Amino acid sequence: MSTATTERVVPEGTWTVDGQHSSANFEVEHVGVSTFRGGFKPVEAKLVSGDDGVTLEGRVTVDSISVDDDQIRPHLLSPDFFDAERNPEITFRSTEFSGTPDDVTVRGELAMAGASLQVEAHGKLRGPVEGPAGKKLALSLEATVDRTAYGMNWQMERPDGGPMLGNDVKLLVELEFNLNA
Amino acid sequence: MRILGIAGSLRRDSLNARLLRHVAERAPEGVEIEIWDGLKSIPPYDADDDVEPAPEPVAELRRAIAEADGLLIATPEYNSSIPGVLKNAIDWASRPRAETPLQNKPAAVIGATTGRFGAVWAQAETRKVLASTGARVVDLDLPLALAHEAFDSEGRLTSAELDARAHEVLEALVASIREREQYAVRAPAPAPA
Repeated sequence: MSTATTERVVPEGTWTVDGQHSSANFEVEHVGVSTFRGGFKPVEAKLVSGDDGVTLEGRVTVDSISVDDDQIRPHLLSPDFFDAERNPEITFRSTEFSGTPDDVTVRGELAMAGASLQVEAHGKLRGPVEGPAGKKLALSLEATVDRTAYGMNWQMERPDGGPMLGNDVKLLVELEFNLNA
Repeated sequence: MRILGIAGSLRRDSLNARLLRHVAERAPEGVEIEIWDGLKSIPPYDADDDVEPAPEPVAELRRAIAEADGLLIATPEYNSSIPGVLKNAIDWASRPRAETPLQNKPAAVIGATTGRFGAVWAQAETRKVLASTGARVVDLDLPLALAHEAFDSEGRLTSAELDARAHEVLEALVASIREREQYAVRAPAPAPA
């Protein structure tokens, strides 16, 4: 948990996300050649840096999902994917936060669709800077998860035999934090 | 608990309607299967007509699905797939996408044909279609082959094995409905007077 590195990488304090300037998006390969995108809004997150090290917690509601093709939204909320009725939230809680501002590594439990799995994200930390209402810090993270590990096994065969939808889903999280007064 | 039964063929002596009645008559205590017979009145889906207010038969179908705790569809198989009238009705019920009464609705599919394969493809494709509308689909089927020879004069399935399978599908649907009751967001009960 607590290491000398982690205490240096995030300035001490409790940093609360600015939901208007943060996003949690995903990308997945579509028909083997293109990228399909979606996201969740708003993002709730808190970054705490103290004597016990650094902890990042985040949460979005599945129902807030928006995708390029809104027609498939009911299917994404269904048991074939997120099963939003039973699992209304996606949550993350870090177990390790390490590295340098240019190369941050965050490991933790990402829970969605009824499963909680260990994921590893990499990214960058920028700031702090002085914003209009106090100190600001930004954290960009990327991770890749296998959707089938969460039981999202839906698939369709393309006419040429390949899969319609990729299994690897890239998660792209941009968090802007305010330092709690 | 109320389950809406829909037979995917329109014929007066539909074997699928007979199969639904067989299941309905043997439903366990507390489970009522209401067979909806408005399939023929559903107009062909046309996005130009998909406006508010919906055509009355469509509004009735959406209301019937919304008010039911679950859905039991019995489908024949036409040209290796779902009968057009049934697919058409599901397409109407799936609209508008954000408000479809099929979202999270527990659903099971059974099927009867006079052929030897018991509508297995039509059942699989109906399950696929229902899943894509957001329904909570039971992963079981009931392939009733040679259905014209499968019932006695009182409309009962003569095969104990198939009767047991029908019971198994219904039990799985009932279990899915009961399980959902724990999760479904319900309107708060009115305050006691």
